[in-house]
Amino acid sequence: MTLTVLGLVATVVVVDKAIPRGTELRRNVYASRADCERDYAADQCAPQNSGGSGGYYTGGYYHGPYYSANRSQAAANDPGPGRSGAVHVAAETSARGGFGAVGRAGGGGRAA
Amino acid sequence: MRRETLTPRPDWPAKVEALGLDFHTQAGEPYWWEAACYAFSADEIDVLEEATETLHRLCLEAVDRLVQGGDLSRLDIPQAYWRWIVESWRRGDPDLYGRFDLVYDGTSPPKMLEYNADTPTALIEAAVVQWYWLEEVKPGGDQFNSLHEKLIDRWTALRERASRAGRTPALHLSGAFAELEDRRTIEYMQDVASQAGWATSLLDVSDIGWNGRFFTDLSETQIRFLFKLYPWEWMLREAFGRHLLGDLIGIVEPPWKMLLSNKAILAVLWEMFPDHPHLLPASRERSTIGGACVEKPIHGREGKDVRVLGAAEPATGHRGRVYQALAPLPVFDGWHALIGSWIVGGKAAGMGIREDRVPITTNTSRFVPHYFA
Repeated sequence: MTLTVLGLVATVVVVDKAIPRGTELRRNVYASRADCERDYAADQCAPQNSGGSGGYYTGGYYHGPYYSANRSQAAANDPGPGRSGAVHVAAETSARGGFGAVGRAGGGGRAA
Repeated sequence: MRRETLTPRPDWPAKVEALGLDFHTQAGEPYWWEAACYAFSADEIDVLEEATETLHRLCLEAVDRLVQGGDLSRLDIPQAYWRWIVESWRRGDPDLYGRFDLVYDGTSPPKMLEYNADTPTALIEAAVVQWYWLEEVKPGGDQFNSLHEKLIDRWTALRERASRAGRTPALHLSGAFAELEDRRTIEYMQDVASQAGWATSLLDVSDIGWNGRFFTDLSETQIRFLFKLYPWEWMLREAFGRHLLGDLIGIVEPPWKMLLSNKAILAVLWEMFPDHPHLLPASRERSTIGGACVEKPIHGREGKDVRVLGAAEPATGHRGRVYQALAPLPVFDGWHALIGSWIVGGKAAGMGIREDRVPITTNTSRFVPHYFA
């Protein structure tokens, strides 16, 4: 047997531990950190990247924090869709957080 | 089959970490254990290989029987998903891999304890780490291990299938990245899929988006093919589960695999193939299993909530259980040894051995390398 391993990739993966269970969320994408910080505090802005050969928004984009897609059910500490609401380049239109809740709750063991 | 005691390589932590096994020690206890190994004969490996492929065939027959009957209630699967699962089987949605947990002592026929058909782990250590251990520690030996090559071959076949259908071979790989072992397994799967020609991206399962029409990644790009190390039964219970019914995405493992990862399949198999040499009596009713048995949650993982019931001991009364005749693991030097036999694309592909001081294998049970001569 010949193995040709192993380019195990060192990846940076977005794992937002702030996502509450069962809540559908969105967040805005910005062309620069400065644009993001017009809407949110500096510590709420982060580089928009993820793992893999495909990559995402590799041109130095930033994202703001997740906020509740349903504004009428947003929690008191929800960061909201942004203060200016005008400069984000590609407001994420998808709701997120619809998978993963059982795993975060402990689920019944990890993958086996 | 025998257990040998060895002196570990002095720098083994650095060596296994370099291969991706940075979870070799968990909660202060060793998980990778090379102070011992298991030795087999070539004939014993042949027996395990044949048993694995036979069991896979039996499992496919069981899926076909369940699908023909159309009633998946005995597996406690929500009815809203039945038709979708059936269509997945009828379309021939391709599967990738799985791991049979077998009891085997080198003498009696291997018997199936369960089939991890949906989200099997212990993959890096079985495919890669123990292979490098073999080359260094037992250079004259061989190993039941073609996992790496077979995974690349299978991902290649899946890519070619996608291309023939006119679909771009772009694959998202997802799971709960907060779990280090799961994340490493997904990263390894990304590596073999990339070698097979897929354009790959990682995505935490909670970052999968739904835009009202299709699933998306963080760049709002449509997810067309998804490898998920996240159990089907969890996905079906979650907020986006209902969106899966649109069949807009090719998922590995496919929906029909959830019929096999469900431990209720053990009872189905025993009904269909009673007294088969590789099966154990199993039932959803405790009373139909004479003598001592093992009570298992049908959706349980890593030995969680598994209980051994004595010959006269009744069921615990918990819902969603299956009862399997007790087949104790063989004990070597005080260690209970479990065979995890891998299948990739329908072919036996290797094995990993877990051992523990107690009869039930859990997520803390040690992984011990093997060789044969």
